[in-house]
Amino acid sequence: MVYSQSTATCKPVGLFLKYMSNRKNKALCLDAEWIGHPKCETCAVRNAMLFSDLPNDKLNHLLQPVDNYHFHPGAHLYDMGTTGSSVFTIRSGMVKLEHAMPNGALRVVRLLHVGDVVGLEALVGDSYHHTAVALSDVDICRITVQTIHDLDTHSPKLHAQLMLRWQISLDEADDFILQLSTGSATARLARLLLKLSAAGMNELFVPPSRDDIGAMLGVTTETTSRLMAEFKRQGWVRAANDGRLVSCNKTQLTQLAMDVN
Amino acid sequence: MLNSTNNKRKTLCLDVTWSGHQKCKTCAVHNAAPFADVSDSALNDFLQPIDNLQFSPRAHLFDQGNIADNLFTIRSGIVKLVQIMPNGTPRIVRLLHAGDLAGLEGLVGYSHYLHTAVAQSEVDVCRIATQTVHELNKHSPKLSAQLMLRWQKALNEADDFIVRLSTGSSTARLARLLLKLSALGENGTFVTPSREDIGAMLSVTPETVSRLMAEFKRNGWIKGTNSHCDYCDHEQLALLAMDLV
Repeated sequence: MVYSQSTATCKPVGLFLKYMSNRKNKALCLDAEWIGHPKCETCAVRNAMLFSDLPNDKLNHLLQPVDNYHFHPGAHLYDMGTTGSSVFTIRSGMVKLEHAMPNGALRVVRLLHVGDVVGLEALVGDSYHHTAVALSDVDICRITVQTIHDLDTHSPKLHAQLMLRWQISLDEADDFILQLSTGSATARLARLLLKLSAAGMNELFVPPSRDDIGAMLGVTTETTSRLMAEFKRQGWVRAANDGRLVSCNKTQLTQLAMDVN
Repeated sequence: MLNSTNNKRKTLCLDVTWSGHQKCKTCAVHNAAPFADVSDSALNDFLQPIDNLQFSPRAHLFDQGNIADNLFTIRSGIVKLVQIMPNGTPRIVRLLHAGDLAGLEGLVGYSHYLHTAVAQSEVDVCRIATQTVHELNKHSPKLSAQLMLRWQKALNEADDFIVRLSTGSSTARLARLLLKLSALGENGTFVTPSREDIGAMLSVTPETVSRLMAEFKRNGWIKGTNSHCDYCDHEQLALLAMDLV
């Protein structure tokens, strides 16, 4: 697992499109006419604030700095070690959190998707602990730490929501320890594919690169290639209609995930 | 497990004459004081259900699947969080020590504990009902900040288990674990976990652990008995931890 191919596909921060609004005074979170509005339903921050007792104009003022962005696959939301000034709520798509090892190898420590909040460490004053990279097209809202603190003083519900997101991150970290870093490489790969299938649409998903899979499972890219070839040969993973998406034989993968041999 | 308090008048958290008071300095709840808008007597009532408990090595603070109605703040000692894999293999996902909280999931509406918490050494903890924490939360804005900090610490520890203890060669993993234990121990010495526990932390077999520990000792990288490590060659272990070979 060396620092190789994945760097080539990782574009520097900046390759994103900012939502251009012609709104004058309305915060995105409260703008029912905004085309992206339906996706707001999963947002922890907005949900907590909607049920606060704040008057509408005050809330509008507080939420005004929230910005919407689109990231292409490979684009960085932020880099490990940089000053944490914002948290990001994911509206669609998948983001990986990556940690660079002292020997240059990369290890993926979490996969986050709709409803998750990334960069929580910024709220406790830390610089970012990971590099956050879009794995697919990603739609995200960026909320500055200052905004969160401002909102925080007005809503006790926000605390509860934030703590829940912290716990969800912790659950995902545990998943990486228990499911993706324990037992044979075959069992780990089977568990990852089941996980991706559960997060995908209609259980179909685009498989991550060999490098990424290696960095998620703590195995080499070569091992990943060998195992994926075997999984395909056995028919446990199959290409679905358009070629990029794949489907899984869940019964067989569940068996392999048990790692009983 | 001993309940050391029969103090019914004054809660331990507020009792400066209590011999264990010194260790309160690391406690998230204690640090969140002063609680605005709460009179001392009301606070005393709130904090009354807090119990100070001692656990001997291998005793369970709680089991995976138990009702998650208490939060545990660790005052001294080391607690391991264990989860059992579907095939029966135990996997250790975190090591907690002074200042850390166990059972955080109960605070955000999880009905059952996600792990089994086991004392790795003599452990001194305070047990606080999640209901009490919720009550306190209403009265101290500082408590939420303290709790978030502990959540982030738990996340850091989980990351450490992924990035350092579950990545690379088993030699590198063991070197990193020994450095971690040495940093947590007193003067760099520490109680060595069992072969099974080390295996469950590094996701390797106990046989591999035995073989590697023997090799580390033979090379003089660690010194001590089976149960206690008196010396680590930090420079050498740091080199092995790089996993360059």
